[in-house]
Amino acid sequence: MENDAIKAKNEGQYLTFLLNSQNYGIPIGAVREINEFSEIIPIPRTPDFVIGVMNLRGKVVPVVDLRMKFGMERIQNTAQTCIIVIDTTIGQVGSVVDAVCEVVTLSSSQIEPPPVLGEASELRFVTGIGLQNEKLIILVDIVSALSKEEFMKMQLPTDISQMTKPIKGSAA
Amino acid sequence: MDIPAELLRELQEQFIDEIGFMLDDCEESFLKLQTEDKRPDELTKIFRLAHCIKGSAASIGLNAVAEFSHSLEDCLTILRARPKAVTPAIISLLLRVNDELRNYLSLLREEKQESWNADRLKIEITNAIHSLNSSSSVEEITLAPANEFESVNSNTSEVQARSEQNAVHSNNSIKLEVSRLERVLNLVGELVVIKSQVLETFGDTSSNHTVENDLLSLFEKTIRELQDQTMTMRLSAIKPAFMRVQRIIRETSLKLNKPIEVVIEGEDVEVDRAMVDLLIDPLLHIVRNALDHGIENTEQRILAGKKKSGLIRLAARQAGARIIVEIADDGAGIVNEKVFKRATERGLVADGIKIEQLTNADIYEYLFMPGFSTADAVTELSGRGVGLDVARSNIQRLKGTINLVSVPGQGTTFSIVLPLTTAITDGIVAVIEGLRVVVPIDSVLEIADLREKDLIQLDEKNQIIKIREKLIPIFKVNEFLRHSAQNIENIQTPHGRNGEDENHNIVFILKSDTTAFGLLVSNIIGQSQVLVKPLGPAFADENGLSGVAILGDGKVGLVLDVEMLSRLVRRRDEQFEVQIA
Repeated sequence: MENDAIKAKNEGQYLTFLLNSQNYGIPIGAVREINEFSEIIPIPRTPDFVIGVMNLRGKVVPVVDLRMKFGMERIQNTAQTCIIVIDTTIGQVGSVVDAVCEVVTLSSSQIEPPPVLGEASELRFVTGIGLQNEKLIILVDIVSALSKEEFMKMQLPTDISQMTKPIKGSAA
Repeated sequence: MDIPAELLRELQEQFIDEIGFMLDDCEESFLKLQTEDKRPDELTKIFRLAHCIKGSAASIGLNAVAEFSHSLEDCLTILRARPKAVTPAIISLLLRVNDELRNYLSLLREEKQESWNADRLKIEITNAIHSLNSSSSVEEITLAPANEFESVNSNTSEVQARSEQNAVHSNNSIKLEVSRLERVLNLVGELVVIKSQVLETFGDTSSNHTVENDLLSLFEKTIRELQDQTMTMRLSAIKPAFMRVQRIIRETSLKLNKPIEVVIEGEDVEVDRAMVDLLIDPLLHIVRNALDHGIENTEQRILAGKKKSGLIRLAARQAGARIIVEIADDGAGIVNEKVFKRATERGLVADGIKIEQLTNADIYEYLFMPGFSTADAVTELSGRGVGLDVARSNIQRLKGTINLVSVPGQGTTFSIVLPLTTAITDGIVAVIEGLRVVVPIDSVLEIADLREKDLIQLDEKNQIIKIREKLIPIFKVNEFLRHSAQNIENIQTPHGRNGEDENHNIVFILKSDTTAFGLLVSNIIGQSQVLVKPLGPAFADENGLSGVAILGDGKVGLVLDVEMLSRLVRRRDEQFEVQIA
């Protein structure tokens, strides 16, 4: 019966998008707006998946690459590349996706529970698998995936010394 | 008394406002009692306060405070007749009365006035009246303090914190939450940016008096005015911080039995209001240090041919866009040998360094190191091994710097230099690796054309530059930035660049508190005032940036945090030394 509860909880409208030709869905309530890809300013010492900041009408918003966040290779931008601005617990965050598809409504009968996966997997944010017209949609709890803890966990203290190699033996 | 509860509450609130205002007004009077010729006036002011509380409180059923004020009034009546009878002990007592009354007001505000207990203080007042009455001679009056200092310690900070929080304002000012002010300031910042975008798009300087141009110039002027005005809204006088410090000096000097004369200058100088509170802590560290280690005992002072009472000067002044706060004492000054010895004991001195090699500035630097303490014995006051290092890091958090000069035998002067505000930075906008970078103008020592011959390549990664016979390390901010840009090398970075070395034509020599280093840039765009926006929790703390700013053309610029970068440079150097060893 647990499965039914999961299904019921996940019922609702999703914005679907593509990452690596796979359909993903995020709850529509978390979506603030969708923008074309615009200039991103890189910020030093950030986790790999945080690619920088963008100027969203005067507001400076961090931007993450969802491909990298979910362990995929970064690819060249296309005309379809979009930034979905998401309302998270730490404010608005821009998420780069390959393409935005549509808004779908999923009923509980269209949702399967997520496959059992290790805790370490980035796929732990998968809340279920939606099925629509033979298409599989991976449903993601995007707000948790972009929580403060996630950002902190990924803060790699890149050491400055790695960027400028110390002199070897020149003092001798 | 049959006053309806609601009306009573309203009357009590009036009482809080009225008395709170009077207390604010009297705060200074309590302190000014120290100066003999001002005493009669100030005593009268305090007397009026006591009288007023007595009257109003009784009429609205606040009997405890009414009785308290009654005793106070009695005491003041005697003092007014004999201003010379005011001793330090009495001033201390009155200051605590001031605190206690504030405490009462905050309790009353929370409707917890029943829990107020000033019995002990009241007894002390009664004792004071007694001894005042019994001592016919004017001079010597001793009090029977009920553990005076102990109670000062345990209560003051709490009471003060509360009363500051609840400070009541006069009629022609309004109370405004800082967060709301911040929002307005932020919006004005945006407006300034939009203004320059509008001007860039529609402004046409070639044709003079078109309607559009007149409108635009009016638009520009108005926004500039708005910006100036909102800037001043953030400012408030440094006075509360000075008053607080003055209080502590008083208490400490009594405790140490070192009489101190305090001179205050420029208390009306205005700083970012957020800074006033944050300044108190470092200032306290410094004055405690001055009192404990700087100013000598009375005997030593007499031997040295100085005035019996020590002098501490607190001074603030504005110099351009900075505020300079000085804390000077006329104490023994800093003895380099002593500092060096202690630093050696503490393991702060690098191997092989001799005192002869060090400048005064090098020596003073030890004082700011964590874990340094020169007190021969650990004292209650400032010998805990924390102090100046904490003071410095607090000041740095305010984007300020702290330095000192000391003349042995004559005293020590600490200078704190603060920006007027932390939100707006005057910066030079430059281009590094195709990225816009804002370098705070305060930290730029000089900007020079880069000549290849001045650059010394230590190895493939490390360079130093020779400027007027001085060797300065080059910090490869460009690599620092590029490292992050690599993540998105397939994405269009601002100039579509992919990590090739560009031509650096210009070198900025930047200085922080402790280090000077060079920064290579390819291009300077101009000078600009920017509104610094913090990056927020999505980014690591130590990224070398104090934030980002949206520049006049709508692009995002990275605002460099020179202090942090210099720490990174230093850390690199340390690691580098380890490698050599």
